[in-house]
Amino acid sequence: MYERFGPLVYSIALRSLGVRSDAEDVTQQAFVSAWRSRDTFDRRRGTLGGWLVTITRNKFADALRERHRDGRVLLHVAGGVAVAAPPAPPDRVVDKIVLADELARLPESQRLVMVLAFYSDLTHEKIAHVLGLPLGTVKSHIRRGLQRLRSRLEADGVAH
Amino acid sequence: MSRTDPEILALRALGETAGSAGDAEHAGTCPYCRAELARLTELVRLARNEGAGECLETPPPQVWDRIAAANGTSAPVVPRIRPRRGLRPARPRGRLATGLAGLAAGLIIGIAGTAGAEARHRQHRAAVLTRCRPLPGGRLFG
Repeated sequence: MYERFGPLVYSIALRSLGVRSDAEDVTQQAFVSAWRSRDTFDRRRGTLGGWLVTITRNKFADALRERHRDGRVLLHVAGGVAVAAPPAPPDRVVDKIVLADELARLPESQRLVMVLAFYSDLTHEKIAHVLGLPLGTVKSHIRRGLQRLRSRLEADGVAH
Repeated sequence: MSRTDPEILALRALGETAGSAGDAEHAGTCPYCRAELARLTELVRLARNEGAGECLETPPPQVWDRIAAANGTSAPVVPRIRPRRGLRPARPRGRLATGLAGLAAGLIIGIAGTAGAEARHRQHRAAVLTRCRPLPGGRLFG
């Protein structure tokens, strides 16, 4: 589970806190907590990823309270400007990392098709031409890719 | 009632003018197709504006060492459930795929040279993403 979800938890913590040592602490605490409360996980109520995201959010809030108790001000850097850290990982950070995680798990050619469809301004015909894939394959990759990303976001994300 | 081809809806969500004028009209009036298109469009907006524009980072090795020490175990955390479909290990990246990634990255960089600032920003993300290493596959319970 750590190998599968470690990058998800760590990346959420890192993007929210902006400090590597703090993100490592939150990641450690989230997985220790998950191990100790593993009997409370009920797959009928949600996915393993969603359960871990919830634990990560709680550990993030704990870490923040601890910093405030210590009289330390926790800052994170957004666009080069230091601002007070929010009380929980912003929903958009969680969703962004969940999307990135699922995108990285697509089979390679489908992942490239989705990256080009999202970010390159190429039409699906051009994508097919560039990657040397049949048009039907590209259309199918796009349709299934969007469905898969959406399902994952609905299961493990927060802003839906 | 007939439904719009899901592939056409997906392409329209990406901003392409796919399908016929009839498809566009249907997607605007049929409640099911309209809702489906709205959901997909929102996903695309999220991905383009806020999402997926970076590679995930793997925690440094000492994090696992500390977790293992705290849990008194060297085995990863495991609620005893069976793996879901969709969490199977990623396929190993083959030579063909690596070639495709290089081709795609080169293409994006080529386009970026002639694009405006906003398009360049998106294309930079695309170039980064095509080079993201696949995450460690799903040894979910190993």
